[in-house]
Amino acid sequence: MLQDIVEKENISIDKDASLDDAISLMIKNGEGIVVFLDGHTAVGILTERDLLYILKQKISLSVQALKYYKTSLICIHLNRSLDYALHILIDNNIRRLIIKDNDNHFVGIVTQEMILNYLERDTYRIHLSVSNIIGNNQELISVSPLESINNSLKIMREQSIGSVVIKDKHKLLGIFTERDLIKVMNLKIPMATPIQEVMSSPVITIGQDTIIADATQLMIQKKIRRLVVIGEDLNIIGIIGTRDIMRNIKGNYANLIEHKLKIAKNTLDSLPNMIIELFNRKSSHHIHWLNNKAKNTFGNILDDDICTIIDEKLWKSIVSDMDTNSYNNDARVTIKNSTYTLSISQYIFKDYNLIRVLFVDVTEIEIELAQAVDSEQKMLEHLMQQSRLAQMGEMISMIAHQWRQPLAAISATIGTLKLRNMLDNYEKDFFDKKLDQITLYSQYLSDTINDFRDFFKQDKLLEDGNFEKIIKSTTIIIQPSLDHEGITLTFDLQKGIIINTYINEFKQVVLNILQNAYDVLVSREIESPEIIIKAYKSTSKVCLEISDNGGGISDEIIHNVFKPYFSTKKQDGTGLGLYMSRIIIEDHCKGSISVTNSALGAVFTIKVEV
Amino acid sequence: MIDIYKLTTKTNKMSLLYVEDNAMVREDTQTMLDIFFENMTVATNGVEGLEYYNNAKYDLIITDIRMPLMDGIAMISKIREYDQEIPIIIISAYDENYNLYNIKHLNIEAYITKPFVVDDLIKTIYKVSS
Ligand SMILES: Nc1ncnc2c1ncn2[C@@H]1O[C@H](COP(=O)(O)OP(=O)(O)O)[C@@H](O)[C@H]1O
Ligand SMILES: [Mg+2]
Repeated sequence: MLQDIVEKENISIDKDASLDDAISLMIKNGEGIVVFLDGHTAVGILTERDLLYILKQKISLSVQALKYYKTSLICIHLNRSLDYALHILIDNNIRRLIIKDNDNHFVGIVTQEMILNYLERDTYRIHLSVSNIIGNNQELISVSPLESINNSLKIMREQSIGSVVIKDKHKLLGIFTERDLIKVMNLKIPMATPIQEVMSSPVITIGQDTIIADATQLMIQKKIRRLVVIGEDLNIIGIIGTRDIMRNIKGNYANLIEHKLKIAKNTLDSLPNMIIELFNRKSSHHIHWLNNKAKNTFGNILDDDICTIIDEKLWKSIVSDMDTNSYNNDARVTIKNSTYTLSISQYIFKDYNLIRVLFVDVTEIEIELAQAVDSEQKMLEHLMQQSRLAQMGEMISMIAHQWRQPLAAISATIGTLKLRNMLDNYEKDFFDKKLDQITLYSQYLSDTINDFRDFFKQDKLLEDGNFEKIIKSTTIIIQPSLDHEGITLTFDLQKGIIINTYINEFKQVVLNILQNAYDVLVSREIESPEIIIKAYKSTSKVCLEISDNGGGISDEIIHNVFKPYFSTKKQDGTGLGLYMSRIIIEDHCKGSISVTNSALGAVFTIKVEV
Repeated sequence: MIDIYKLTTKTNKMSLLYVEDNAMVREDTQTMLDIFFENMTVATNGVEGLEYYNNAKYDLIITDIRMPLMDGIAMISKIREYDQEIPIIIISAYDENYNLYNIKHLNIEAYITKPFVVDDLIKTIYKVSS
């Protein structure tokens, strides 16, 4: 847009300023133009060319410029495109445009040079060289070095040209341009002075084969508007100016953009990703372009609504995210068994709001990810299984302890009956009593089996449970083992706590911790071994503390005990008990489990929401 | 075939020291042993057992191994310090099975595992009594 290149400094002057002041300003700004302002409004311009004609009238430079400046101004709006400005300049055969804002206030000027400077190399017909565009349009006007300024200006006016070259026979000595004229006027050099004293020398020349883009570059660099073109034998062929170049810019700027777009589209077409473009309009989102890959995938969906390929809800949320600049290019769509993330860019020019959607195929990544998640899940299941097996192993030895005494009692009772039988001593009541006793023992055995079986029930159910009962039904399983080792189990349980959790899993955790305490108390041959189970409610949490006097866990390893396969028990340990306990408490029961050392031994603390 | 009448007549003249810590097992086993030994003293751990042994004369000791305060092996070891003669029978759980080799010097008469078959007990008692 024009506002990006407009020149604002040292361009304008009050409408009542003198010619002298105007010329000084022209020199200062180097643009060969002065704009006269009435307040904020541009009311006239004076250009170098005008000076040519003013001089003819032989007027004093101290007069107001008012009479001499042009008042028919070509102003264009700040928000116009370069393309538009280019049109105006070429159509009106002018070099500069006055730029104004919404309030018609003067903003600055834009010159041909500025636009040329802004255009990129490929704007120019790259294959055209200087000789192609100077053609034989004008015969080169030259004057001799001794010609007066006055006569030279006369020639310029008559020929309606902005410059003359100064030649001595065939030798090119210099060039005199409108710009030099400003200097002359500013320094008040007499008009009879030979032109060679005020000409610009040496002349900047270029070969006729120079391509236009390079010629333009040279002009911009040297801050000049004309270049003298010389042939192979160094003879002068002509002069080329910015205006000539302007006319030879490929068509116009809009064509150019279109051309550029086409190149870009070609590139987009050859990409392996699907790309679609649409205009962002409030009411509709119709696809106005798609690349080859997208065509192959979607078929011909040109002009269809985007929602034929992207779920409407998803699209709406993407658009609203884009509006707030919070879209992260992370929306996912699945099309024909492939998953894509949508990378979206938006291009806004005036009322032209283009959305480009790039489909990035992430199917492979997704699959890998899914596989990773899957294998992680499998790994966890595997560990779960292993830990359950280990726990079952531990339980079998608990069952052995559980059953040892009643089985011994049963065998003793049966022995009694058998002996009585052998001695023909059948006392009916005694037999009845002993048989009842055996029934009672077997009942007890059956009950313990149920306890164990319940323990390994796979049902993952969130249930309400009395906390005390949960603990007691767990300890009943390990109690005989503890008794057997002379380990005292002490309870300090707050009554009436009800929790809602995965009760069976929770029991397994408690049993795990008790088993570990048992292991350490036995293996370290602790005197007066003891385990204390304490439970209390605080705010919305139940706190369970299981402590032992087994000497605790050394500082070097205490941070490892919840890691899988960490065990200090050699072949007797799996190292999975506490790992699974943590998974159960943290992931399933949404609680926390931790361990510390007291003065006597380890203290495991579990906290779960009630 | 062991004549159980003859056997009981014989064993009832003997005195037995029975040591077992578990009350349930102790009571039921005692009821059975009553048939053989009218003259029976019961102790609930090794310390008690040793005390009874030191204060009276017994013809046979039947003991459990794992017990609080003093286990069966420790008690037997003490007894064997002065008494190589008295027959000793161990009735114990299978997983408490000591490496029998290690206690060979204790000269154990028989090793019966709980739960037991009464015939094994009868045979052992028969052997001891004759
Ligand atoms: N109460 C405790 N006292 C001392 N060390 C313990 C206690 N509980 C667990 N540990 C340590 O934590 C380790 C890991 O326990 P766990 O995950 O249950 O595996 P495992 O019991 O198979 O070794 C144990 O090997 C032991 O070193
Ligand atoms: Mg463990």
